Amino acid sequence: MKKFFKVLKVIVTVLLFSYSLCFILLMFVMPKEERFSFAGNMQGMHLSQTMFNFLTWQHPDYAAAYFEQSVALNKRGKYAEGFRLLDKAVELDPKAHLGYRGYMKLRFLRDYDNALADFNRLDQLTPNFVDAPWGEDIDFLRGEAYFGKADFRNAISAFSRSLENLGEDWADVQTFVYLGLSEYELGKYEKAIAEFHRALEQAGATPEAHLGLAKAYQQRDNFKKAEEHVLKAEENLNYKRDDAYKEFLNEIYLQDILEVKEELSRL
Amino acid sequence: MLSKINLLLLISLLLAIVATGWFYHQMNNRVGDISFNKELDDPDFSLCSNEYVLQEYNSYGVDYNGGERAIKKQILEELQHENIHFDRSGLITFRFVVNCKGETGLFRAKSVNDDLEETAFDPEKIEKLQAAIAKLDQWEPGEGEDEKLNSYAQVHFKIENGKITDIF
Repeated sequence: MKKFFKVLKVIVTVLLFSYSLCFILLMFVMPKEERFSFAGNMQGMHLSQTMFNFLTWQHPDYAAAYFEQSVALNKRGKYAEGFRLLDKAVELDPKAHLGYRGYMKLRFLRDYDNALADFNRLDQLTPNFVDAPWGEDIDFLRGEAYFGKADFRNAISAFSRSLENLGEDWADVQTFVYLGLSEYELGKYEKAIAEFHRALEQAGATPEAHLGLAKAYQQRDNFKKAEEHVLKAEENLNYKRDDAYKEFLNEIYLQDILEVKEELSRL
Repeated sequence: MLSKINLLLLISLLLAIVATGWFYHQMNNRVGDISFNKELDDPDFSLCSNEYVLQEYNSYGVDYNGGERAIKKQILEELQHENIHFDRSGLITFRFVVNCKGETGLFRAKSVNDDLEETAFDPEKIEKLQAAIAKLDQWEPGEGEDEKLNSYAQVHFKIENGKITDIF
């Protein structure tokens, strides 16, 4: 019986040490790619941040780890910490991370000049290649940045380049919408109407294009067409462009439609 | 006196307990979690049901009626009217909780300068901005399968040349 308990104690001790050893393997010993993947899947947890801290301590040149660690911080508004990590990733591997940093500055910070600086630098680093930061055409994003700066002429140039890059059939339908909005802001209502119609040729239910048309036709005193399109905007509002992270610069809401309807009803 | 095997068993047990506790803590705390602080927070504000708070970017999370543009429309004019002047440029980010009833609380502000380094704006002005956010009353709480949920939300104030130029 005494021997049995001794053997049992040895087994339990070995099991308990093995259990603790698993944590050490997970945090310090497993291949860095596997730990990166594990930490990435736990995004936002303290465990994820701790694992990235260990990874970058062991591998100070691991650009992707700095980038991935920054994501949760920036999403939750901790920009000083998030961008310190993202800047490090860019410093180590600018081609891989400049585009994302530009995208973050554009969409999360509305820091248009610095977003453009990142996109332009990325473009210079990749000659004869059309970059797609975070999956979107670089010229579309540059167009958005110029639009945010209210530099509508440069916005039109950038969005037009995006159409050349992707081809009209494959371009984001919002490219035409932004072109229409930029022309509208410059007071070129006929051109705006033409661009909004190009959007509808690609996707007839685009509510942003219908609302843009309603406003442009209103400016041209074509109230019948304006009313027709504002109703279509309302009818198709479910198809509007939105994103769980941030509001787009050209995002529309029911209130925008109701305001135009009210203006039209007063005429 | 403990025998060698008993000592090793005790050490292995303590190590396993510490590792489990540490792992539990690491798995149950999230970046940016805000907990009640009696120095800062309104004691009347409470979280609903299981106290879980959805992240602001969760697709079931909170929305504001009319979006960020409506927030800007509702408070920018009033703040500009108060002629609040800041001594530097940067971005002030408020993160807070909207509970299942659409009430707001647990406000925390973080600020960065143009170089995205942490900076501190005048606390009195930060309080004015917070008061403006607290007046917003068109929150649409996050929603689960059959219940309204608590969510985090953010409002940003862009400061250029000492003035608020954008709210989003």
